[in-house]
Amino acid sequence: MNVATPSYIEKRRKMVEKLCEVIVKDLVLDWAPGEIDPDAPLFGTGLQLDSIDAVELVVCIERAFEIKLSSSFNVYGMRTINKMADAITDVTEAGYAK
Amino acid sequence: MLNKLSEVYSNPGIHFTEIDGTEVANVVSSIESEVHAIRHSVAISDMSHICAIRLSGEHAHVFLNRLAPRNLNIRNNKLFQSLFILDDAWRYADVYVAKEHDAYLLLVRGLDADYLIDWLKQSLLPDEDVNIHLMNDTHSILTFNGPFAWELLSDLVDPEIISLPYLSFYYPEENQIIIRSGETGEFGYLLIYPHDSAQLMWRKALDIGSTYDIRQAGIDALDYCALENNFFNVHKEGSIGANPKELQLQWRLSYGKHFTHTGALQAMREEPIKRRMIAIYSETILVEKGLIFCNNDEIGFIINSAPYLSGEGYIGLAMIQWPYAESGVVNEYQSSAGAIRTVSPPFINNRSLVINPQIHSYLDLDEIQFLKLDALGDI
Repeated sequence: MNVATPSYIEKRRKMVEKLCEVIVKDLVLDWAPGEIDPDAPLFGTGLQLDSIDAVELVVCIERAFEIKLSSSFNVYGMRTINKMADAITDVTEAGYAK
Repeated sequence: MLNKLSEVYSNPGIHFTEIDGTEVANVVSSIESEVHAIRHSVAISDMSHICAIRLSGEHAHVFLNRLAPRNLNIRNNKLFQSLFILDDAWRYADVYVAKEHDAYLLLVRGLDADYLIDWLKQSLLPDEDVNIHLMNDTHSILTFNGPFAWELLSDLVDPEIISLPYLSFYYPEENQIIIRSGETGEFGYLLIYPHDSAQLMWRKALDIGSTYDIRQAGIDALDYCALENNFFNVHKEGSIGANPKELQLQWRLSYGKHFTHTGALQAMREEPIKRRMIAIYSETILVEKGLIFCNNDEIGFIINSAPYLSGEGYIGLAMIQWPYAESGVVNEYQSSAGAIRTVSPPFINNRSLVINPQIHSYLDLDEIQFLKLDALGDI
């Protein structure tokens, strides 16, 4: 295994855990962070978030991770915690952090 | 045994398969053309292998509440997804629970009707007043899926259908039920109609649906689309003895609720996770049940896989040991055929995400700005 991979896995896990905590706290969900699976659907079925939650979610993520999602950010892609983690990774690696 | 809807096909070369004791078409023309219709226009499919059970009677709520691992607090004409946990070895049935005015409607996959009825009856307590009625004896179940399924159904049934919310249902006529659900990531509707009306609806749909380039799709195309969108397949990932946390299905449960397998669920909740199902991608073939290695150590196996029809390569689901089960690990793990990547599902950007039934139409397809279908294109 590439020497960088274990640290990537650890970093990714922490990001996913932080995302779960942010969602539960800021959207006042009736779940514990550990009960939100990273590939569980957030909208429609699954956690049953709606379009208003989606807007709030973007604001929460930008604040919690100190990033600015670009205007071309694909909100349709925020379908799971893992998809959001991908988006944050893209932004931070592209140097869009505040 | 063939079901009543199998009589509606007119083209030769259809393949049938038995699912949960009922024979349904698995391929009608070709999986590629059927998936294309589901992703771009609309497809009609026979889902008569789903067991539709109506629970009524004074104790229907108490009875179902004892069997369901999720709270039953839903309004009339709404439904939710859950599971029936059949034993502590994590055997499941995949269940939609729909709340009617004075009854519950269950749509169940993973069990044949006789087994399901027996299981429900054995779960009844003495003196419980519950009527268990199998609707499949009188009704067929068909489904429409696609970004323009709503438009075809507004022509076929009722223009108001476009305002039917997701996971809701209504009765267009007595003895008929239309449910908005679907497991393809596109607009999806499930119709529970008396056998004769269902056959009539099928033929009418093919006639009117030519405007929308409708195709008949088999179960294989629907299962493939479910895989692309990471919808649970009870016959694949549901059959490997994995618990709901490993399968990322905790959202289908309500912790703290008392039901027949509360003990197993609480134990699962408290134990540290040892493995998790995650999505994978490879440029080389992914073979189901094939092992996955990291540095020659076995770390998991492939559960479900298919050629990636919305892009190139192969997609799948794998059960991977902790701590390896994390998305975004590139080419560190190997199957027998080559390197794999762990990815974040869904694998596609569904066209239905950008469709607004209030303003769009299949007739103005060229004017709609869709996202690129392949959501893995940039990896």
